[in-house]
Amino acid sequence: MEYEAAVKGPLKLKGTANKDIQKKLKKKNKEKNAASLKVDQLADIKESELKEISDPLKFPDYFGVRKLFRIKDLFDARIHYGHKDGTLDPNMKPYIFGSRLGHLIFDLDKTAEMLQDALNFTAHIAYRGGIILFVSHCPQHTLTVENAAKQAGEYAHAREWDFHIFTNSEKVYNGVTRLPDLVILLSTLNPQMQEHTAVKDAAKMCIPTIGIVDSNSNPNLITYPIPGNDDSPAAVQLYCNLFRDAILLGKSKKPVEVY
Amino acid sequence: MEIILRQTTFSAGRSPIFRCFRNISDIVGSQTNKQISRSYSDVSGQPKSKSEIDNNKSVSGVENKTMSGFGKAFEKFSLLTRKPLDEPDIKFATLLRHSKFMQLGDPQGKVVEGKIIRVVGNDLYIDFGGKFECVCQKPLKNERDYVRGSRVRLRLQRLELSTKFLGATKEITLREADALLVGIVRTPFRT
Repeated sequence: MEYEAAVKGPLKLKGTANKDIQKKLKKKNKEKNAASLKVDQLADIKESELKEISDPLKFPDYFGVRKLFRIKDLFDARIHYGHKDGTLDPNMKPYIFGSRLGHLIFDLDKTAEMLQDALNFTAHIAYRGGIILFVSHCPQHTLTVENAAKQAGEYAHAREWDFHIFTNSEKVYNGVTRLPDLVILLSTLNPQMQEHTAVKDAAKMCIPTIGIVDSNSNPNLITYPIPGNDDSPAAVQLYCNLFRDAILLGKSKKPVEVY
Repeated sequence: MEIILRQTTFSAGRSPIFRCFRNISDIVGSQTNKQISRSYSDVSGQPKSKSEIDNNKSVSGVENKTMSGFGKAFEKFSLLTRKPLDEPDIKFATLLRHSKFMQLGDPQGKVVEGKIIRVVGNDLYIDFGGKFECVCQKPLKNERDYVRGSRVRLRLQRLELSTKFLGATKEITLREADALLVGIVRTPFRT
């Protein structure tokens, strides 16, 4: 029942929700002209609405992140392009659709599924007021990443990574620091083609990570890897837009005090 | 018609989602805001009853039949740029099979058209639709035609410069394509 409700319309705005209830009441009143039934129906509807509001974790896609993108959008943003056969990391083999004259192509069906999971997770973290950190070390994409973080109202670290930021934060910042609740890596490699320190450090500090893994990256330490192109500016722009939208979607819903 | 009315009511600031976008629109700009608002208007849309539309109408004060000026233009352009979300998603395999990348085949020697996205000194960074951009030297002839935004013709050599060095197991990639600059197609300066 709850899953059906989620599929039909999890994103209910305050104004329209009231109108939907009114509409339902009007319809039911037309069929049966009983004043006593009115109260019961109202109670039923309010109960189901409350269930929806009180436990977003029960829904597979509470914030409707699946509707943020289509496979055609991923395709147009060149997300299916991978590197060449020679740079392939063996851990990425399951996500590769095939190789065209040496150039690897990602399976966008798998990417779409994993991207949806990652966006859903991001939205939930944002909903609960978590700190999200966008990380990227590619100088080309610094501006894109920082702008996306600014628009989302979250944080970005798109410069050279200081080694002790997570692991020795108290010494670096001279005080008790709150570490991010989610790290989104727009590229898991640094310009030296080695794994970005943030991947290892976030895993050490038990911070969940979302990472765009290209065919030459290792997805093992990343909580929600997204196999796809991380080099084209169009691709990075799309990822930034999607994450920003997911965060804003999560923030747009007012969390109910459960604890 | 329904969609336009929905969008007009949202722009009146009735919903919480659009409230936060109104703040961001100052930073982002109207274009992106419209894109976001477009996707959300389709997302939140359950088919609304006539009575609901009438309610919205009376509150926002929008006429049903005749639209003029902004309303008319908005209707025209929203229909043009609207994404058909009701249509089934095209399968990736189909998209790939009919893509230019497959049509290209072996990139060696193929002539393509690219756009100059960056000029750094004497170097032109040209994007031709592949994963990477290529870097070419600015030719001495017609130097002022080669600016950011010009369209140029290229003869591709390789889509990605990556080779295995002696003793290595994995290749090293330069994250760059290799192409020869053939000529200019269109400059922003001359018509």
